Amino acid sequence: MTRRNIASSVLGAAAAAAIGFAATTASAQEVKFGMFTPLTGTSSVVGLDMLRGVQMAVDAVNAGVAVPMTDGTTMQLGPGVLGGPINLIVEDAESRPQGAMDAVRKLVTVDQVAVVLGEYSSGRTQPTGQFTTENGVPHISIGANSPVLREVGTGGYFFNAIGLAGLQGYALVDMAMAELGAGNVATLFPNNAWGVGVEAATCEAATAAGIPCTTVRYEEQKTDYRAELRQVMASNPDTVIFFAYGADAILILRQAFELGIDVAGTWLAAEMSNWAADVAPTPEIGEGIRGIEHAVAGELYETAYHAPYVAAFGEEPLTVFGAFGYDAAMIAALAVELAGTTDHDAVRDAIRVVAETYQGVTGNLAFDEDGMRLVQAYGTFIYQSGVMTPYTPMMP
Amino acid sequence: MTGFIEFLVYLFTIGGIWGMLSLSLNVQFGIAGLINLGHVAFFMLGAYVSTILVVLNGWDITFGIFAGGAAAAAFGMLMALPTARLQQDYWAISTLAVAEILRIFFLNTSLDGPYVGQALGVSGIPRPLRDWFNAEGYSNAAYNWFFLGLVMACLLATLLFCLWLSRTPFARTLKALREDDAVPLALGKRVSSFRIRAMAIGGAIGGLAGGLFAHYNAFIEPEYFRPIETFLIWAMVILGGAGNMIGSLVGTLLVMTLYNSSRFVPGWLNDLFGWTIDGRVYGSLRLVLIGVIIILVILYLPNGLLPERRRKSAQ
Repeated sequence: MTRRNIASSVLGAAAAAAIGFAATTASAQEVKFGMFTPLTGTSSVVGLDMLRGVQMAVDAVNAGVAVPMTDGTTMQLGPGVLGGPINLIVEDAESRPQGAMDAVRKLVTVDQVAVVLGEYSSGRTQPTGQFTTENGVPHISIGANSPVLREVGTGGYFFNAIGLAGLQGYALVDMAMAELGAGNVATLFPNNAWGVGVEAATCEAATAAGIPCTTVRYEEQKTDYRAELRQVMASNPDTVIFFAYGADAILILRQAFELGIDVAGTWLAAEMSNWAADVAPTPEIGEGIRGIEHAVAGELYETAYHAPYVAAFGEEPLTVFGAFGYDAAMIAALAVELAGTTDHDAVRDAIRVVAETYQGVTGNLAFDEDGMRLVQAYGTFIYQSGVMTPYTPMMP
Repeated sequence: MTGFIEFLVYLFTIGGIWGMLSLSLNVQFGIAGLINLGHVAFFMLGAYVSTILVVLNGWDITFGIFAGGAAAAAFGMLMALPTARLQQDYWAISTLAVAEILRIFFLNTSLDGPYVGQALGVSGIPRPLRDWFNAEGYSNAAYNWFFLGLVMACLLATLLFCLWLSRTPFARTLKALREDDAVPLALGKRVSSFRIRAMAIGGAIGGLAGGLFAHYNAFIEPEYFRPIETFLIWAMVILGGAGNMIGSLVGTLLVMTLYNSSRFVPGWLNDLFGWTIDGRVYGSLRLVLIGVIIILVILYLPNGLLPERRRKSAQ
């Protein structure tokens, strides 16, 4: 047993004992969780999926659930926390920064929630994270992963349930070197907070590996990307690391196909699930592209999240981000129960403890000193016949 | 209840900043008749210039905000110089394009290394007297009241300035220009000079509002300055009554209320009448609602809720 496993077991036992104690002593009360998520506007599909994930976790806790722990045991949580139900208050972030700030301010000042959950966009998460930190309210971000979020976390109240893009940058460069023997890479990312963050992280990883890195950014929702495609291929890269949201991906891959670019032989995709379903009607334009996606698979994911999701909503999960929402809400519930109170400082301290021992459907959620997720697993895939197929790369 | 009041303090602070913006557009459109579809550019420039000077160059916040206003005034003049002789429709299109060019400039400009500026924005923008409030042990709520007072003082000063301006001979010439160029030209007025000055004055007020916003929000990025924000400012001016400064503020209050009520109205309707309205549906209908109200106002109150008071001789 490694030192880390021993520490985990001890923390787990302590958390279990404390939670059991708190559950028997706290009086019944409604506990408010606040969530802000884009339910209207351009990010509304991801926003809805995150809401579904969070709602599933809240419903599970309110009904009583056996929570899996990292040491293989389970811990009974609920019904509810502190003897009362969780009341999830949801606010629409409107896919715009001011809407997100309005939503969070209402959750913190009017609703006075114990924990804030959200968001997906790094550009909207950063200012709202500053606000929650300033007001001393625990805040768990769900889907935003720009490296700049680390600065928000230094205040102690802000946590990130998904690995920062820096981890993804290194994973992509490792794959480029091992799979495509890349001697130089080019990146093609959208010009938004997420895209710029991942681009910077990818080029940092490439530079650290001694590989030249050239960058091209594109504006979203354009009607022609041929100029950007020619620009990215101008440096004759061994590997093009790219990302696109659904509609943009269709056009970019269609025009790359028409320009005769060998996407199967030279392109790697970041977060492939963002376009896999959209490209499916014309699969030939993405055929053979390899890439990575946040790993949300395995037996626990299947039983605790995927199967209940399909049963509840009658369709496959819309994105991977709902699963991260599920884990964020579950950590918040465990933390309130462990703290035995909704006092913000106590909940903040408890979040760190339970994240060490909770086995999430997206993996282990332990946080570093800045509240950022320490380990993020990525699955490797190849796009074949319109489907993301798990793929075993030649990586060491 | 305390929390609700605190939220109202926030809404009135943001509303006050938007009120300054609507007053600045009213100077350009209501008085001078300039259809500026890129008004958010002044807001953006004020926010960015103040942020760059204060965060990256260590300027005092007050000087930073005024420098933002000065930069926006200069930008308004620059915007107007080559376009002042254009017809209204060409003018409108050019202002929209200029605002987008400015936004794209900031979207692609790194301010201090790979993680500052561009799409990542600038975070940690200092707030006036924040450290003093912290050192004295005042709460966040107390600071928010202070900032509300600061914004309201700026709004009042802007309103008084605009009311004074609208009674000057300069404004009378602008109003004549608004109706048609023929009369001012016949009187020997330099039409382009008046338009340039109107753009500069409106730009300065918009820039000051931008600086206040940056130092209140403590974070800015180009997403805050999309064309939809200009649409909201226009909605405020049209609803309130173009040319009437008080009307601008009434329009601002109305639009802000419509925009933020979706977070509360469904709950209130449920509590009072047992009606169940999905907040998400209501939220997505807000812009539709604002659009419908604008159409109704244009149909039945074509000069807005508080029309401009014209002198009898003008009628």
